[in-house]
Amino acid sequence: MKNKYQMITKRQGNRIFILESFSAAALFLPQLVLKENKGSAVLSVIAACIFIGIYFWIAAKTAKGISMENVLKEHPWAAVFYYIRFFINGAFYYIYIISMVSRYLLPGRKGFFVGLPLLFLAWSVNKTGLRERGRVMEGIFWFVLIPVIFVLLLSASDLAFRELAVTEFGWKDFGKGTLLLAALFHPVEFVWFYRGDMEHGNMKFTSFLGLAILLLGVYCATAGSLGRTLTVYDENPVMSMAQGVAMPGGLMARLDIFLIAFWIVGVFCVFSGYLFYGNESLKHAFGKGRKAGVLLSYGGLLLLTNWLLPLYDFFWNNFSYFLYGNLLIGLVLPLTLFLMMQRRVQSENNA
Amino acid sequence: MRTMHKWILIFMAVVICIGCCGCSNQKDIEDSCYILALGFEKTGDKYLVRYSYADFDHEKSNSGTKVPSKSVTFLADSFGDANKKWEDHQMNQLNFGHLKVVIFGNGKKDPKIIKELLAHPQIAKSVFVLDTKKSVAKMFEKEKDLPISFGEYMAKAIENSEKIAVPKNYTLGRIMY
Repeated sequence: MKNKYQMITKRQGNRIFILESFSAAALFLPQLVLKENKGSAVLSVIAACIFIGIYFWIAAKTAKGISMENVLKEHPWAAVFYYIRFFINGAFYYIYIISMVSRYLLPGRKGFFVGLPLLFLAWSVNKTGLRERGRVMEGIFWFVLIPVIFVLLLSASDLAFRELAVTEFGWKDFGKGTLLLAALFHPVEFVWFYRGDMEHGNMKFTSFLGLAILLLGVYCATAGSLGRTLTVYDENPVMSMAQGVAMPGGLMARLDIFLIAFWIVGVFCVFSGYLFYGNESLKHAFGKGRKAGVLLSYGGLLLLTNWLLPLYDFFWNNFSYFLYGNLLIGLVLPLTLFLMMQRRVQSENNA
Repeated sequence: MRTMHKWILIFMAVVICIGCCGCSNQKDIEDSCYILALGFEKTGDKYLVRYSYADFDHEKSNSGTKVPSKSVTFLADSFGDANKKWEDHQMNQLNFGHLKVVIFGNGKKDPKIIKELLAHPQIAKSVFVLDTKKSVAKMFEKEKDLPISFGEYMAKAIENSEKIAVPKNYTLGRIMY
């Protein structure tokens, strides 16, 4: 019998997928793809979107009717592994959000004061279970996406298409760019954690299509506004793109603060997702020890705030290793676990 | 348990109010110095850095949002060094959120300064960046006679110029095209 606190609706599942896959990845996308593939970056973005589509389809088919709860009960070591790995990933997004807030919104504020409400909010969203988290994600979906769509539309009037066009093509660069982007989209692995708990229906193709359009839009708006060289050079090219966008008629000269404030909520979805799925893994596998896990992850991050913040440069300098590691472990491991579970269920049914 | 949650929520609200809303460091609009135009001129190893900022003392009552500006110049090693010197000598806090134009005098755009401008979180990529053969002092001469700020005057001049087909190509965001 399925746990009622774990069940989400079809719409909630689709919205969780878009928010978690888009919010964090899109911030880094233009810079990373241009670093590896300057001549035909737009093709790498399209190829990476197709990759997500294929992965998403495989995950949707493989995890249909199989809950992560049951998979982790079979493999408790995987639950511990997920908890530790998701804590590290969550720590990266935690210090990323604090750095963004300190840089753009609340300069001079101590990281602790930003981290405390952030962790409290994450705990509040996650404390009851997937159903509650699904409701929150459903509620904030347009709150995050409308400002992004708004800025993308406003930036469209002034794009330099020669900066977006394919100027040269090499298979090696194309492959490197696509692989790095595929690694950047690693939060898509969250789909394994909720696909089996979705009621009444499948994941929708339009969700994947919407995600691909948004990602392509962010790339075109950024590279088309700043040019390829500045996009690679800039620390936060997506935010710089937003700095160049203004409302017509002089109503609002700058939209970057507006965009940052909303986008941080999107990155928060990914950050809270890591803490949620990490803790849920422990809960599913062992039943007990949930409080200790929660205390260690949320409390640990809060206590480590001042120690973690100086590590941001270390994370950033090794960002590609961080991404490739997540690609290798994060996308392959759940597929293996679910296939094993599927075989087991089939053999039980046959018997 | 519900009462416990209520008290945690109240505690959090108080912490957020005290820690994050800025009440402990509140400032009036006049306490910040809104830089509307910047001028840079290389002299030897150093730079003359000219800050043109909103002059609220000479704002007319019927001027709406149009505020005149006045300038101050520092001799510094870099843009960052000039900002530090400003903080040492002026009471008001620098704010670049409304910067409209940056002018490089006596020659060409300086790559070192451009890098500093690009890295500054408050400076928008929509700021116009121009260079002139004239000195910065000569360029800013007009400022004292203008009813609006020098930065706004220059920005309007660029946007309405018949000689400039795409004004956006002169912005900081397109400096590396």
